[in-house]
Amino acid sequence: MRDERATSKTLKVKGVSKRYGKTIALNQLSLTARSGEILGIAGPNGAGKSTLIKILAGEVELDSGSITIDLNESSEGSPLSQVAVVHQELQVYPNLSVLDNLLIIRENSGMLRPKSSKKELEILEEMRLTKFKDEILGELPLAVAQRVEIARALLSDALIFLFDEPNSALTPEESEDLFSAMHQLKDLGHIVLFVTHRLAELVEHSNRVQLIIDGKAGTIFEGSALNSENIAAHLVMEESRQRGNQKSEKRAFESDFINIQSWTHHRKVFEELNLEIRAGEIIAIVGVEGSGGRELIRSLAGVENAVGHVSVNNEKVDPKNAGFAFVAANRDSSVFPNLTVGENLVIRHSNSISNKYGWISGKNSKAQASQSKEQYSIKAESLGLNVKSLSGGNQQKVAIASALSTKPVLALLEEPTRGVDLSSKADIYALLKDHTKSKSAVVLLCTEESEVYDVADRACVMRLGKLVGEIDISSCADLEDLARKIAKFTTKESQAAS
Amino acid sequence: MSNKLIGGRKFKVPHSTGLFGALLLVMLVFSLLSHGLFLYVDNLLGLLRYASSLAILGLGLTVVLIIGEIDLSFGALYGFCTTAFAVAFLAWNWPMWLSLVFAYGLAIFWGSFNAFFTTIVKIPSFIATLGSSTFIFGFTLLLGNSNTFATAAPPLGSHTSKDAIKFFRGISNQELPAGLPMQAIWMVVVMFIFWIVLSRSIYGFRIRAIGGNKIAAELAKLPVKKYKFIAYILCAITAATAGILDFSFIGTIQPNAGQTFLFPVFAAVVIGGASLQGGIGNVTGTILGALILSIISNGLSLLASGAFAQQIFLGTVTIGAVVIDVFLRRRRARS
Repeated sequence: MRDERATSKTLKVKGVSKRYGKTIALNQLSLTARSGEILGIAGPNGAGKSTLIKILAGEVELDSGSITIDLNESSEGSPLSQVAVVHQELQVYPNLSVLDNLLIIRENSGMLRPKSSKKELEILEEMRLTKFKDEILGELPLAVAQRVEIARALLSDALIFLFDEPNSALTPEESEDLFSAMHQLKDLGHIVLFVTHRLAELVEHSNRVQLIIDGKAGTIFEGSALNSENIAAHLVMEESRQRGNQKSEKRAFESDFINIQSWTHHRKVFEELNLEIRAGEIIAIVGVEGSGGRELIRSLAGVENAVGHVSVNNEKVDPKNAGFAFVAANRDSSVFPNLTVGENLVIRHSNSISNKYGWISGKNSKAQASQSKEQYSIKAESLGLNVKSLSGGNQQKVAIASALSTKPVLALLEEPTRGVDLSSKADIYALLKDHTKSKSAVVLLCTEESEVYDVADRACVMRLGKLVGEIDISSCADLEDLARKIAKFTTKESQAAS
Repeated sequence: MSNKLIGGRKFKVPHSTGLFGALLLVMLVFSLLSHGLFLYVDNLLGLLRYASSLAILGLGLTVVLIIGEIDLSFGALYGFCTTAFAVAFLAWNWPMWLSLVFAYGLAIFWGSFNAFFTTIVKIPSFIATLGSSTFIFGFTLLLGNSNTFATAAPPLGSHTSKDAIKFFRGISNQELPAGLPMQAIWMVVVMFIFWIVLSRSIYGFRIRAIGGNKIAAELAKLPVKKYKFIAYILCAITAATAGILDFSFIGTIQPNAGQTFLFPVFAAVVIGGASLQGGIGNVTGTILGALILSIISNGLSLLASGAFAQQIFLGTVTIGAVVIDVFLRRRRARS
């Protein structure tokens, strides 16, 4: 046992603010984390969680406020140091053995290859890595690599361990392994922060959960208040107060439009999945990273492989060439940065802008582009501007317009309003609803309850590769009610019961 | 001649204006340095012929660069396709048209071969085409028995008629008014075809999108693989065209004749503004780049600066042009 483990430590974040241009990411945020406990952190996308993580990890400078570590209750805070972040993108050397990954960080080892000392072997044992000691890291599972990352942080005397969505790519068994390592760190007296979208896991593993909303610290949940339905309801409360959420009216749909049966992803992320999409409907697939939601959307779009039966109006189709349109969440994967606004708007068109020999009509292209600009309310001075000169929200509208303007029977969009301003958000919801008027359907991948509430007719909740529940949005009393229903479906208890 | 479909840079100084200025500048500099030797009509016409070869090869390479790949095998293809033509025409006594079909058929085959390894096997095109260039050169030696072919001295046993040979030589060795090289006419033809394809076809439009953002193009289900096949085939066809035109003019073809074109063509295309990172490139730029490069290269010979100067110059402009390209990209990304 090394000395520093015995003392109690407190991480104090006091009045930290950070702004990026006009956007305030953190606004006088204060929180406290104690050694010997796991502090969970929850908050909607864009609330400032990732900014806080980046500041703690030293990747981003704070504008004002202070972050200190008190080594015991009486002492004054010392500046922040030694933070280890555990997430999916590891900073390990996949071509070296597990032991070499630990030895490589040793300083002052002279010219010779360093030999393993007692300290390294102890830490390997602590992290249950001894049996992998001589194996090449790249050939081991991600969960083992994450433990190597933790071991390395222990070696360099890290005091704070920050778990940032650590298990989004792990299997349930691997996750349990990682969480036991997390608890071990807590028991060793380190400060552990745990950030995840999976509320059930957050509740299971945290001693307290701190909410972050709008860059400020919100409610702290502990004891009996610490349950996922409660947190989910709180997460959306603030947002629904800010803007009057408007759920879809109850509508009637024609059934037998698009049928998906025995749909199995090529990596078996989900198997034998069935889903019926009705004409005119907007469906939200709700599921965290690793639930299979993303893979479901992408395979239906025909950009990832899956086998099974898909039919449109009772005719079997192959999603790869059924004319389904897909828009990725990340604008880096949906916008062509070297093209103009107008060119981006018509890039998916062929027949409407060119003749059968493939010669383009400049007049038709411009007409098509101006029509899209009008229809999808894109704010750009001219179609000839480079697309990157537009605001993020308008770039997103360009990406969505380029897909929807080809009039696909099924449009599949990942998180269509991630990182866009409120007015663009409303515009995007309106144009999605508008699109379904012409006997077509929209399937969205959503991570925010408020998005589901605002735009969808039906939510399909995914968990561990299964569709675990369906919610008719018009039957939800309010956003809070929807959030509770989703949370109920994503917790383990209901999973076992159903 | 911007190939923008919508927009374009009407109100800014286009890249080609700058290139045109550079062209006039190098002409002026070498006219003065060579005490007017540079401006002799014979010199200018010879220079134009060399520029035509660079431009024809460069246009094929431009398409490959726009789509975001690279082709290092066009030099080897130049030698291979021309040797294939010479073997069929002179040694096997095939009619000229059939020999041309043979040569272009092989060009299409090797273009598809390059595209197969870059798009289906998915190895980096730099390695794929570096490998295929050696591979193709090996087949050139095999096919032509390592021989140099000359129209004036056909191989033993050849009975290709004198008239047929004369007709073939006429393709690019004709007397034109004012002594203009026939190759320049062919260059204009090729230029026009590429210009119309790049600026007015859905292919020309979409390859810029594919080169600009490959992932977005795949997610939007643009025909990325098919278009890359076409790009490599176009590049191989221009290599065959440049080689056969040079053969028609000079009358001899050595197996390794195309290798010396590799760096000058790259330099010309990159000076012309095509980006090695994909998405950017145009016909006017490549033509002007080819002219600038051949002027400097010709000027250096006139000054009797020695072979070393040529090599140093080529290396400098190649790296320099790429540095400028990367620099411009970074500045654009920041703004």
